[in-house]
Amino acid sequence: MTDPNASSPRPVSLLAVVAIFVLLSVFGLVTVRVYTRHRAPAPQNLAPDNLSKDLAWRSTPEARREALAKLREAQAHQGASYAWVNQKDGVVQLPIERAMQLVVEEHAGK
Amino acid sequence: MTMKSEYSSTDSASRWPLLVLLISGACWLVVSGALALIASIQLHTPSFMAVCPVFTYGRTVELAETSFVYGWLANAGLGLATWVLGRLSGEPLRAQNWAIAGAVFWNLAVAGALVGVALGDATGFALLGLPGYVQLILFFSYGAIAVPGLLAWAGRLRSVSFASHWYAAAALFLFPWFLSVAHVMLFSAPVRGVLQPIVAGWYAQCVWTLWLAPLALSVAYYVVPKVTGKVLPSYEFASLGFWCLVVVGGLTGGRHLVGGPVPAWIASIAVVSCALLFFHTFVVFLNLRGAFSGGGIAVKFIAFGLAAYVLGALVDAITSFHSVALYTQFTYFDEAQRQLALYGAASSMLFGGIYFALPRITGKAWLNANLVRAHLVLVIVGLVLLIGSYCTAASAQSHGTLAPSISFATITEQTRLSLVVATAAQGLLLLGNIAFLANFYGTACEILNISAPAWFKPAPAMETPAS
Repeated sequence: MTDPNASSPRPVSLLAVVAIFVLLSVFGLVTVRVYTRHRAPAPQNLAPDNLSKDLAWRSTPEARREALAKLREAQAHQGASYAWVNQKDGVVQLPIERAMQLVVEEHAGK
Repeated sequence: MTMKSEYSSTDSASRWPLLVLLISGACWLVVSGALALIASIQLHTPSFMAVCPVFTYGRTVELAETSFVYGWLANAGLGLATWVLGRLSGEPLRAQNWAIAGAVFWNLAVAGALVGVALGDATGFALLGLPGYVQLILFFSYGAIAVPGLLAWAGRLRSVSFASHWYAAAALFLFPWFLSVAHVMLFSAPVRGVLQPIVAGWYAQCVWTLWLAPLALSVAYYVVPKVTGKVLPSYEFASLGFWCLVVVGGLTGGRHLVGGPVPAWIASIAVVSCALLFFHTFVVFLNLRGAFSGGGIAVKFIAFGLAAYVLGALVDAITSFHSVALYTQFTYFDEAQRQLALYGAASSMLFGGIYFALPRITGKAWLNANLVRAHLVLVIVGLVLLIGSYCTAASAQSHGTLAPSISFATITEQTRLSLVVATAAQGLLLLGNIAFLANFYGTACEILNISAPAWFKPAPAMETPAS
């Protein structure tokens, strides 16, 4: 598999290899340094001043993420537990799985 | 059969990284051909594989493009450019293990990118459909692959440099530069709104003009004078042509945005740059026109690639004008242009380079001459048919979309036949690619001392009874 007449290549210093990697990265590093450092935040990500409490959850991406997580948690709890929605009218909240079973039973006899 | 005349110890001492890159490229070529065939069928038969979300049309197109550009063209181009730089340096490649490790990680990253795209993580940017999370792996793998080539270029024993040197070294340097800039501006800290298509268009054009084209041209500039045995005509203009490409090439990206919601000067600069770039193309044609005077299979592939390169540059310059783009933009003509550049020009020149290089790297001639001829015929017929059918479809599309009375369903029906022909062309190209891979595998088996399948062996060897 190996040619016995083949001459062996000269050794290479690790420094030369590192220098090549640095040289190839130079434009990326300059872009990170110049562009991302001086990049103004997007207007939609800035919290406006004097925002009312009911709109505060929209002010920053973090606040929006937190509000969404709370909403999903509440919905997940609603979809998996029993509770009264309106006791006077007899409207109840029940787990989705159970609701599906009841619908199937109701329509099975038809 | 062993090549005696041109087989040198420099080649044999440098063979392993080159073989890893080239055989990986050949495998990706077949994968991309199969994916392109699926995508092509889905264009006229949308229900084909529609139940499998991994192979819906948007994903198969992206998968085919990614495997073709970053799998086939990148591996083959880098392998050949490294080989050219090594040969011109006059000594065996140094730091070969870096290239082998880089090639392994590059191909793992491409495979990871395909899985990501199949699962829906494609970015939607042309020629940068790779998910952001594999791009850094690609960047560092690329650096490792480039080490032997750049060391060969920097430490060459002869101070004189040639056109193939310039194009190969430029390609090795430029790709990581614009990949890292595009990654930062589109993924790490994405620019907003209309700036994104501008950066994406700039990157896509840079991939072609500043990376794939120089890789292919470095091979052509090396192989053509070697095979023809003649000095390149008008060689004194070669450096002007090279610098024209490097300076102007990246500025042509705005031609994809003609008529779009971007400042008009971006499209205007692109139009002017496309016209200026034609000077580079003209110089390349002047230098390499000897390829058209005949020669072996390698020169035939390069001549075909050169013709596609010149035609592609001419078409790019013409279609960048607003009045022409009105008819060609957003039609199958874009796809025809892309196939002409990536397959017709870059891929054909790389095929030529591989047909020239592999016997010298391995010390063995290609095992099956019929498969070589079949590959040439299938690639040429397939490509002409593919580009012709896309142009026909684009003509019907253009006429239909500009006439308010013609419905979209009618346009779809009018383009159907052309798209069926395009599918047949993709099938021919896939057959050609399989023939190429099979022949490559058989030749590589020879130096690995693995028994090649019986149908690869020359007839006399097959008829000799085992002793």
